[in-house]
Amino acid sequence: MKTRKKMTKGHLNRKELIEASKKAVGNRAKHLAECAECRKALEFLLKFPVAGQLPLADAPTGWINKAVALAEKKKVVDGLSRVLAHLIFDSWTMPEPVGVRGEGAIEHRRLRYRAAEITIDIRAEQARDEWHMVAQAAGEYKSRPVLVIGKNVYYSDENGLFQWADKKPPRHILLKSNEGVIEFPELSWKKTRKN
Amino acid sequence: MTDCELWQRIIAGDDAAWAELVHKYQSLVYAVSTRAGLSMSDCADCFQQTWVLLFRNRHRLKDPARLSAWLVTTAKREALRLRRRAARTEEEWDNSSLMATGPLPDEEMEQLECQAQLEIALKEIDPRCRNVLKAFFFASEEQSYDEIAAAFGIPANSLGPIRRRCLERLKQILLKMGYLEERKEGKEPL
Repeated sequence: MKTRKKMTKGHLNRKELIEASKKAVGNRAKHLAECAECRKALEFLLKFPVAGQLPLADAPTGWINKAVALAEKKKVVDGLSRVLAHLIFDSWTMPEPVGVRGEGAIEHRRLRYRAAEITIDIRAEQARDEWHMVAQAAGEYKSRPVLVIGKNVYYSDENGLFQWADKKPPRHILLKSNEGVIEFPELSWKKTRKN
Repeated sequence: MTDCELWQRIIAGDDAAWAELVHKYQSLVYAVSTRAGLSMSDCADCFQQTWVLLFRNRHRLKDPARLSAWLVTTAKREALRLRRRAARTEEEWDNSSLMATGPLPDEEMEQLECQAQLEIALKEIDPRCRNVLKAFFFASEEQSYDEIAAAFGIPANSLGPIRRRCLERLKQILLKMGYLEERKEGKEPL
């Protein structure tokens, strides 16, 4: 009992274990020679010399999502059921309210599409050299849909909003879920709004 | 789940398995990409291309048990390719200097793989053991044995057996995941 108490009191931490393994004499070396638990810990430290290193950092979420989406993309190629969305509202085609000049509002655009039971709203806003986009799909989904624009795949946040920014506004959009693919008609961004 | 089991599901077309694999090893691929001294955009390319190559070659991968090694090697190759391309663009390319400085030594890559495997295994262990092992082996500041015991609110003489049990559990997980077997070559088992 006495021996055990003496030994447990002198258990070694990471640094002490490494030091003790290098020295043949001293209290720590003696403890290491006698203590099976510390020897086990040292064995592990030597086997995995990465102990003490900072944990590996996570890649940015967008990169991970893009890599995850590689398998999703394949499914599109494989061919799921496809539905074409139709445009039901475009703010650029609406007449300007009396007394409002069109120049400022041309930097904003609101679009609404419908496909089967799904309604998709898209809001576009041009700021400096970028277009800030927000989209929301309302309807019954069994699986979480993703928005596919060219090579990029976007996931919705906890509020069901897809948000992204790009130098160019999107022309070809797909909304994908396990149930199928909703394909949007090609979007034109020519500022041909009627005043 | 071992990499082999995960791989079988991926081959069968299970998207969730692919997502699980990406999440499992993303930090490893990211670490290799970032240590190559690439620009952020090249780093993103390196990361992405590594996964593209894995997915494209999924039916040709011979040994899924060596998946982490495959990822490290591929990410390293991609990183070197991108470095060469960047150097050519900047007209600073000097083959001899790149080889001499050795931007991604094998030893460092091996350590990254080992660290990733350890971190994956630690995620599988119960929270108490994980915290004990982290305090012993991964804390950035060296803590004395008594300090660690105090932090966990347990007597110092209980900590030794707990550490031993936790190490044993970690070893079992590493074996189950096929990481320890893999490390047998040239090294003694734990």
